[in-house]
Amino acid sequence: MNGVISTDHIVLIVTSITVGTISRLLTLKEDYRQYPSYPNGYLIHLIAGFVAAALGAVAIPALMTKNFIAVTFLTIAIQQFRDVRKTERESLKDLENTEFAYRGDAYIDGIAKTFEARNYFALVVSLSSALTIQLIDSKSIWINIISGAVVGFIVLYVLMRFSKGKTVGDIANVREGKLEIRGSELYVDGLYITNQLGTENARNLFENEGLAVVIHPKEEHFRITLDNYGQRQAILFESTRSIGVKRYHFTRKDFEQGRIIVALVPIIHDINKLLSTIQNTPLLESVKKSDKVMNTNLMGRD
Amino acid sequence: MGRESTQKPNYDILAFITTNKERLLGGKQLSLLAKNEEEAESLTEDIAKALKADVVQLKSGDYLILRV
Repeated sequence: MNGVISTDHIVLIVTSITVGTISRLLTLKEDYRQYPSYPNGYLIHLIAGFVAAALGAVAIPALMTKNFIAVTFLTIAIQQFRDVRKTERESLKDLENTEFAYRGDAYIDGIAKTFEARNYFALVVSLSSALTIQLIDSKSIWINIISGAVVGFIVLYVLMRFSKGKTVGDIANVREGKLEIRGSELYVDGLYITNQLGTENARNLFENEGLAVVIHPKEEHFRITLDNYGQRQAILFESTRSIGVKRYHFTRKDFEQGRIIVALVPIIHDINKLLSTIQNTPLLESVKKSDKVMNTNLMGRD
Repeated sequence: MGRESTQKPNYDILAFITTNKERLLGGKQLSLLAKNEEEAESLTEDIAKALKADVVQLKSGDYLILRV
């Protein structure tokens, strides 16, 4: 070796880094939530993904050269990714006062965790790619590269499937609600929302331009998830983000039937857009719970 | 109160407008006595617009101007 890195190792490292960085790029999608939809956000996360991929790529050559201590730098990677989460959280919290409605701490926590997790994607994909190249160890460079890339992308697909969350539409029926104004009080489908419509202007505004949506859980136990304040705040945030708010936005819960109401006066009067936004709002990880797991009896009970 | 009671919003009462002087009590809010219903409504709308605040009409007919 004489301190010079071998061609095999260069192929292994470059392939793994490339596959890992591409996997970060693929997970950095611009979805309906449009986050991140700004060039600097892309760059920051792409570079962080590159660093993650690089750490995953050099772990195998480090082991192969009996440099076991070098593997401990993976702990630095974990620290680094936790910082990514922290940075995202701080950044989103700083933006809270500039949005139509608050994202809420639970939603911010979920988004920040997703960003951290996607860096692990890059690390794991690049590590598995490097491991494959090392195990195949073919004479042909191209066989090594292709096999590493294929395994890397399979691992990415599995990870993406694993981390894919559910949405409100999966657990609840979402439909338009009927607005009704009685004096200065607003009702949606007979459920009291607010009494802040004390002026003629406010009443006219809600009567002519207001929109309301009723979210009805498909199963009784989904009420726990939908009633959660953080989840409702996330729904409200996504609603206001997609169609804007001219004035007023409310969420209310109905304890009798488990309905959740969202009412607002939007800038863009488009009920279909509002319905699809709410259906696509992600279920927060911190809120989710499995009804079946609650009934599991693995360790036995008295 | 539900869980959201801990999540703030802080309601700030900015003004109270009534036509009944017996309901004019102390407090940090601006309290105004209107001559009649029309004046109460007009005062409320003017103040709410100026302060960009919300209005609640109480069952008694009095107005509360508040901000969340």
